[in-house]
Amino acid sequence: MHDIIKFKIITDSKVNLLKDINFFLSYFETDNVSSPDIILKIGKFEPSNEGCFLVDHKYYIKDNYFYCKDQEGRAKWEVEIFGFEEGQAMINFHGRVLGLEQVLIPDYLAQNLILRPLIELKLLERGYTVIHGLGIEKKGDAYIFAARGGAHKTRLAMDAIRCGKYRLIGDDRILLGKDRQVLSYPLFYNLVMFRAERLRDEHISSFLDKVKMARYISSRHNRKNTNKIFADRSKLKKMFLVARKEGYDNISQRRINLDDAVIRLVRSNQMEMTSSGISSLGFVHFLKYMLAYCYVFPESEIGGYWGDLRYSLKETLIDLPLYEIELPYKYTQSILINLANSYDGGGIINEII
Amino acid sequence: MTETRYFNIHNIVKFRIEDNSNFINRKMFGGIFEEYINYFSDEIREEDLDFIVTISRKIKPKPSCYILDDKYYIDRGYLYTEDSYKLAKWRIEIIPNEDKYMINIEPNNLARFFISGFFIDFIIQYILTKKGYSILHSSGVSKNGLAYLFSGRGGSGKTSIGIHLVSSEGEYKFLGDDFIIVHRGYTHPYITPLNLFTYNLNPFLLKNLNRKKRAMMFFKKVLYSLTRGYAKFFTKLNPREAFPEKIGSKSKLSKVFIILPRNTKSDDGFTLKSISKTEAVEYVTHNQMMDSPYLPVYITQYGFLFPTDELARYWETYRNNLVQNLPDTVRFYLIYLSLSSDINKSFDKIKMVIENE
Repeated sequence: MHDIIKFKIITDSKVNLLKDINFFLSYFETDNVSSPDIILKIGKFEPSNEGCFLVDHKYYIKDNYFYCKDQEGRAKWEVEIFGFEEGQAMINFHGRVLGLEQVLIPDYLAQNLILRPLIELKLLERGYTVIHGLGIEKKGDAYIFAARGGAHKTRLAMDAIRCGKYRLIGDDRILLGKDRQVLSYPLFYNLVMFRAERLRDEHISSFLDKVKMARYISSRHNRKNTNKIFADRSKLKKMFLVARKEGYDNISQRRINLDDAVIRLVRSNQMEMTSSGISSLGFVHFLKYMLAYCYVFPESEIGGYWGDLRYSLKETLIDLPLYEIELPYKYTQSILINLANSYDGGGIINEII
Repeated sequence: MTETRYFNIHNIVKFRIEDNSNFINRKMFGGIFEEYINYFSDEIREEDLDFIVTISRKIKPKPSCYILDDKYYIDRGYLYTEDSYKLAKWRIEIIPNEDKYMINIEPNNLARFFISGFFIDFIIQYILTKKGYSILHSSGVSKNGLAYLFSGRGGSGKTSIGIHLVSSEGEYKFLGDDFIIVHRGYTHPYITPLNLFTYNLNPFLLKNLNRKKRAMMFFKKVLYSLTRGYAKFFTKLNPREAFPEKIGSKSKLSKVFIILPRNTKSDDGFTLKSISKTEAVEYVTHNQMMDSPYLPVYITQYGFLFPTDELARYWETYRNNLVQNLPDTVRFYLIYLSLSSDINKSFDKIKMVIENE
């Protein structure tokens, strides 16, 4: 991942129909990595959880180590993390989802539940923060729309690409480095490519479209074309905190102060660590694992994580124009036009229509 | 028909629960009131209430809210969401009204079991915190007007140590098994029914269980094994009925023990060390943060929109209160407890630490 962090996934699952969805971080796939920072092994394992502290009958914790058996809704899993706090991390994961996901995307749960949040912990150690939101780029300038789920992020992203003036940094995650350097962090990048290249709008109407999509994302692609659509490096120009409001037809915008913005971004990241990404599997779990670890080792790196994140965000965002935006409940293309107007005085309206 | 009850916890927190669910649900799936059975009160004037919980048949979000993650409806001072745990499902709405909170909950039948643990407990804690009190997830005993608390997560043995001391020789009184209220160096007992499962049942408690409860307990154990741990139901025992002569009163806080259980096979199953107040505050705060699974998450969502509101700053207030309410004269200890060692021996060692002063 941008030469900041290297990870390796080893899985024992044989079926792999929807590769890009199963490995949603495949944008960062390379042929080989030497000495990875994180190794994720998916498959049965024997835990080495002797001599652990036991929290709530279920979390096994010792220095730099975490193990538990857990379940929620249709999913059940067992996970072990060596190097939870520092050094090279090694994850053993064995889990099942009762449902179609198990066949189509057998390795998704492990990555979304454990790998993704663990990457975020390790990124912060290296001075990078992850923002949950949409990022678009124009002539090297990055605009970030931080938001919780359901705030039209993906639709906005796709319409922004289609209008031809923007490239995508990420439609759900953005990587923010020192000196306002913005790095791409696309999830499901082939899905984004497919939508950008083959669909005229976000409405996947026919069954045929779905079949095409499935074919597209399960076939091999040439990574060379991605830079038409994705912007790997850019400079943060403005940041917006976005929320959707019911019974509301306009877009309203106001300046907000740094302290509030930073707390809000931290809250958003905390919420992200409670979500699994699989529907009907609501409240999970990495945040709980972190809490359990902090409970046993309050002085640990993990115990200081949220404070460090706050500090790091504050350093990066100081003196940057920060806004809060309310978006209408229903999505229309005019939202993008209005947003564009709000930060660069328009000029692209005609091209979009 | 509506069933209404008033509750008063030491004149500190006063609330009302209104149950509007139908008669059959109430009979089959239990009442919501039993958890606070020791704090039943006569009617309380509306303006003295801190919060009102209404179990409703139908609730929906108020219009023109912010919507986060497609399921949290939030406006300043207002929160609505739908959520679930295993097969339990609920809708919940929190509305501040003048100086009190109104909480509407629409549970499905299974969710009735969790209303007190998931929501009402936390709201009581929230009100206590707001009023400058601290609440510690711990069990507690008192002797000669001095209080000793045992803070720990589930499975740490905090209930067992409390019961062990109360049932042993030496005039120990019971202060509570789940939450202890602390204010300016003094503890207030908070007696709720004990949640018994086979692993925390000792001879003293067994003696106090009637035949019906013993049978229920056996049945629940079988159910637990059959469902491989999915269906876990506790048996309730109210200490105020079971051993009324052993219930303590307001006492001066003397010692706090933080218990961390360990799965080692080594023989030194018990380690005790003195820790600073600062360290203890961290343990206690994290313990509390892990304890309520849902409302803290809702508060975090709320904090995404209104980061400086009282509601969003709850944990900050909680930590500050602890620093205020735990005086510097209190001694703090950390205990590593091996699960394979003889637990009663370890308890006797704790008793020695309490009595050696």
